[in-house]
Amino acid sequence: MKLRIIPAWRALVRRPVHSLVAPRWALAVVAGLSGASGGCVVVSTTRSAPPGSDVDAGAPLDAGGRAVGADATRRVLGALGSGVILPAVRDFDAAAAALTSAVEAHAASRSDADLRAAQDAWVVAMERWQGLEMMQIGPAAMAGTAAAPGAVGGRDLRDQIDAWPLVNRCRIDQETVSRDFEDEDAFAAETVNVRGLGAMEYLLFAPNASNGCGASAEINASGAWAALGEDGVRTQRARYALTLARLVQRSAVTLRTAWEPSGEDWAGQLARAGEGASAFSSAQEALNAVSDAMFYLDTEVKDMKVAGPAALGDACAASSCPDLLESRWAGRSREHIAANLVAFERLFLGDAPERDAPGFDDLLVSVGAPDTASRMAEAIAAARRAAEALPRIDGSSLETHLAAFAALYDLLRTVSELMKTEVVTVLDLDLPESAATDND
Amino acid sequence: MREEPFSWWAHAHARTDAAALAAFRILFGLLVATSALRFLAFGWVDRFFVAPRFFFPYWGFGWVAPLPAPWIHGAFVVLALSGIALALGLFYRAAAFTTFVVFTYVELLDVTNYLNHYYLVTLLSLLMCFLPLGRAYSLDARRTPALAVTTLPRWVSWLLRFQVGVVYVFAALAKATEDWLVHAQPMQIWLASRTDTPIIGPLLDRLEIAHAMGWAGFLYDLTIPLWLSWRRTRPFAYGVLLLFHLGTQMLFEIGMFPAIMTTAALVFFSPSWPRRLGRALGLRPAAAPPDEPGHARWTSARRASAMALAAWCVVQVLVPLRAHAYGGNVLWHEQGMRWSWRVMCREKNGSVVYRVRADGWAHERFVPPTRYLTDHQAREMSTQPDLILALARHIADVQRARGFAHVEVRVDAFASLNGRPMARLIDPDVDLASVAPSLAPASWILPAPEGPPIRLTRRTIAAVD
Repeated sequence: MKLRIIPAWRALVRRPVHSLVAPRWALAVVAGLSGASGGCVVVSTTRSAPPGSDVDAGAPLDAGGRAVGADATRRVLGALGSGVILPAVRDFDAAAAALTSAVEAHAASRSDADLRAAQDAWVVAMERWQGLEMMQIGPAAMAGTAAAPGAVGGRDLRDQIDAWPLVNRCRIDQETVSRDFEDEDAFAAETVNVRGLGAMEYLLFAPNASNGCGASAEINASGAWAALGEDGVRTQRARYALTLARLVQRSAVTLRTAWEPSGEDWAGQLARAGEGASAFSSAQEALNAVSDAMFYLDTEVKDMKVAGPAALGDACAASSCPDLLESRWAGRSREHIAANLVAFERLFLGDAPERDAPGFDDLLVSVGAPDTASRMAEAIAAARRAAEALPRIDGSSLETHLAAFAALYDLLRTVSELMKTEVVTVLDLDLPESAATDND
Repeated sequence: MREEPFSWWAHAHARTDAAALAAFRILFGLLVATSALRFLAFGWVDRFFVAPRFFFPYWGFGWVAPLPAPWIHGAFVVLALSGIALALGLFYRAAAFTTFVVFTYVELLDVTNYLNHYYLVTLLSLLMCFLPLGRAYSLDARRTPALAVTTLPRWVSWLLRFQVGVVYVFAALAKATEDWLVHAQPMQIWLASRTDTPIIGPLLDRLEIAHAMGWAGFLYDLTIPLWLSWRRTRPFAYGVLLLFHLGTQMLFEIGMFPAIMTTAALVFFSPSWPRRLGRALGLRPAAAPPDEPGHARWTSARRASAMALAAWCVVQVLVPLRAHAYGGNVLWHEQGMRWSWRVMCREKNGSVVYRVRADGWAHERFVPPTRYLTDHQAREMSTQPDLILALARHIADVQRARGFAHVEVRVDAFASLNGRPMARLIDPDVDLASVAPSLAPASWILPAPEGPPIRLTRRTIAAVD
């Protein structure tokens, strides 16, 4: 059975109310009478919160100056929001703007130098985006459908920026011919498999002017593709890429506005979860939103990015499937996986391993599961190191590196198993999509 | 034909005011209709019956297949209408039968949707097919005056009380474990994450509160049928019952369960409670009809009915007890777990990855359950060995259909029960493709991990320097 907090009435909760109703001295009396007080609390090693965090304001503290209960959770959420997610969103926004500038220059000149500059800008933007893939919380997350409940505040911004694995090469080639991309606003309503950073990768990195459609497809049967000629194809791809860069930048700005304190302040909403001025009706619900986002590691990274192309799963019948690599054209699959793991590690630890900030590990340590925390941290670090040590992978070299993929897969499984069992149980988290129904 | 043989026989057949049973019928029908409408309104029909590509059948019910959309939506519309008809007492027998058949049908479609309170609805709707609850305060009685009665045999109330009492008592016995009573788990895990709750929230991560609530829940479940049965304690007991279910509804998302149980508990009240409630509300209900002594003859038909009822009651006791025949920790191996009223008694999460080998493959393939299941199904099956087995066999069938004659499916299944370190749930060396589903004890399920569950301390995070 899995139980979950009722959200609707929780919006009534205000911290000052229960601070008044159950002041610290009352808690101390209860604890003293029971003999089960803070004496047995395992103290978190975390001593600092990131700059800009206001999560301590007004939070009731225990005798050791520590935030307790939901306030402890809010402190972690505040640290993750302002110390991990917001900087990543800002970095990506800057990279998306730089990408637009570079692609503009490329579309104008179509020189080899400008193409390389555009490619470099794409590499930077995509690598930063890969960090945010692990942080699909609030507006970046799923809006939901009839058959699948959406995330709190979900607006599907993720798919607007990068809808991988929904990238359709033939459809992109058809759009290249039709030139629908010339109306930027109208193109924003096109299906996501012809937009975003994934489609841009093909447009910027495709090695030649061939297309991905069959001979019977209209663009080939009618001769429309052939009529473009190699130069025409490159010209249209550059213009198409420019439209996509601008659309990605729009979404990046929207995402940044959503997270900035001057905007919708999603970082602050995490820090204030359960206190009324937040989309999250409780700190636990917000913690669950972060946890849900982290499951990208299990489904997309472990099962799709690693197991898929290396034929470790049953999605690939051959000995390997280069078509299932995430970055087929730019050859950046390894870097993307590593960036995913770096982001996962930061969410779990609260920051990079060499820095100390409140994270899931601190919550686990504080509730008496230090062994789970340390095994998780070790498993994540091992997987990250393995991803960083992977050789550069492209379609032609994949077959020779299957053993390294298999080793990485095993390490990712260890992370996934710990996350799905001990972490979610001890912190009473729901697995994605398992919450919105009845239980008993 | 003989006179009634025992005094309790006469007492059981004495006729009492039908008002309480009619009220139960009305409220139960409304709850069924509400449940069906919730499924439609919340998109659960799509989520649970349209989206899945694979359904977990109940043992022996593999022939029950889901209707395609929109017919499956139609089934819930029919269920809502039958619930309303039940409440109105319109074509009562047909409405009760339709409710039983349609509700049971949708429940049998996929084991991952099993909930104890859905099972209770199935049992109550089946009983109602045979109970004469449509003869009072119903449109049937208005349409056909010959059917109308103002009193009903006392045994009808007794039967419903027994059914509801079974739920509570077995729910209590399910909590009579070391984890629950000694270690306050999983109550402590649940409460520690609910410290945002108004007023009492800051206390909820205290171990002593978890102990208190665990014991209170155990004692409540164990004794509430008794307190409800005794006239002098009944009002207080029902007040406690309301508080208990209100509390659980506020703390835990358990859907219709509190509404169903607060309604079901009304069967313990006196036969005329609706009239007294009406008077208390300033209405002028008709006076209660006088009790009529029982004159039921000891006929062969009645004897058969009595034996059927006795058999029903025995089954209701034996089915939950079957879990003990398997030995070990039922919360771990889950054999005999369903239909045994183990309500809210474990926090268990699992991770499952299948290892598939087929002739001609160079190596084992790793297959996550989500390749075949929705996230909801994958989450539910990951801790239930018989479902892990069912999907293993399905994966083998899929590969055989692709032309691989020899397929082996093994599994790496781990679970954490009540916060214990994760442990293997299934023997990783057993080829599940060769294991037939069975009710016999499963040797391929590994023993539960030793040692106590986790003992949580408070969530704390150090202050900013």
